[in-house]
Amino acid sequence: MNAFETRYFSWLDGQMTDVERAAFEGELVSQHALDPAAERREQDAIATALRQHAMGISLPHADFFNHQLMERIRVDQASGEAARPAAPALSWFRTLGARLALGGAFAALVGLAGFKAWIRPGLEERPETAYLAEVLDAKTSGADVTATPIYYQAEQATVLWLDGVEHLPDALAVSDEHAEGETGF
Amino acid sequence: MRRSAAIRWVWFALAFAGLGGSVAATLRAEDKLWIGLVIADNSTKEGTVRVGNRWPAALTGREKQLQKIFGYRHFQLVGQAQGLIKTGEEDWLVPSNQFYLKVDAKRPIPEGYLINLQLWQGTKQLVETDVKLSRTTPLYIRGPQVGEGQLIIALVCGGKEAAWTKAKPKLAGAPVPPAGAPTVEGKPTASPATPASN
Repeated sequence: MNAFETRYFSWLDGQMTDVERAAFEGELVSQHALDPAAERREQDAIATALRQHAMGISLPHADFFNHQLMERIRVDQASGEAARPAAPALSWFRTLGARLALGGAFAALVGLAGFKAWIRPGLEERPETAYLAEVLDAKTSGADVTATPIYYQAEQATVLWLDGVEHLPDALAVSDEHAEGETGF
Repeated sequence: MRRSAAIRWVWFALAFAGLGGSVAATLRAEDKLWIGLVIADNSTKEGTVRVGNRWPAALTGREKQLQKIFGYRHFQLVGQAQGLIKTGEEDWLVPSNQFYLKVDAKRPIPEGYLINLQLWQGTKQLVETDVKLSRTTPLYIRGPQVGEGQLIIALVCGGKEAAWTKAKPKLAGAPVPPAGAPTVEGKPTASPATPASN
């Protein structure tokens, strides 16, 4: 509320001294082009109308309404007091839960990375994977013997092909002397 | 408070990663190297691929692969041995009285092992090779002609115990490289350590 409005309501309520009232009414005329007498009549009419309208509203069963209202306030106060201690516990739970979820997700990520890096390669089975044995170096003792690595990608196998090795007369020269049955076990 | 909680979670994650690493190490620690001596020939009728009565699980499913690579139709296992792969240790696999393999596992690699192999025939070293042995695919060595057929030395490494045919227990007087026989560099000058054939 600005200064003019304050002074206006003081003028309407008759709270000004004679000097102040005369000065304010002069200001109404000179600066706002208002007629003080007409202005007061108009405001009195509005006040009267409002008063008459407000008096027309009657509240039936006022005591019952009052009782209900008080009962509602009492219940609200009681529930508010009961709920107040639970609030910090809920907050604590949420905070811990969020930390657990965050830590769990982080640990799961680390675990997944570890699994992919270390464990999964060891679990891969033949023949779906295509890591072929790789011959880095091969030396033979005899001058006539050569060793050549050959990689069979389609067959997923590596062969170290020895040429020039002395021919053996028969399989008995190779097989286990403690052989049992056909295949030498 | 927040900082200490973050440190706690980092420790938790590191412990989790360490657990994963130890599981992986355990898996790799059980890996074995199997060697089999296979005689391949064409003693069966054309159009069929046959194997001997007792065929190792390590080569089961690879019969056609052998046929396509070596061109033979009949395969017979005449000797086999297997041992745990122990990184940094030398070991011997003795699949027969004539052929044996010296294994020196250098270190594990992502897909298998870096291994130095020496294949011996009697007192003669046939070949020495450094290989990256795969855990998923075999290494074959095409050996000498044997009668009408061909000797194939198969090397397979892996960790599934059930995948392997159990090797016969070594008997007394089992074949070992002759004492002091090899004379060139890198060869044993005495009988090798107990072969890891079981």
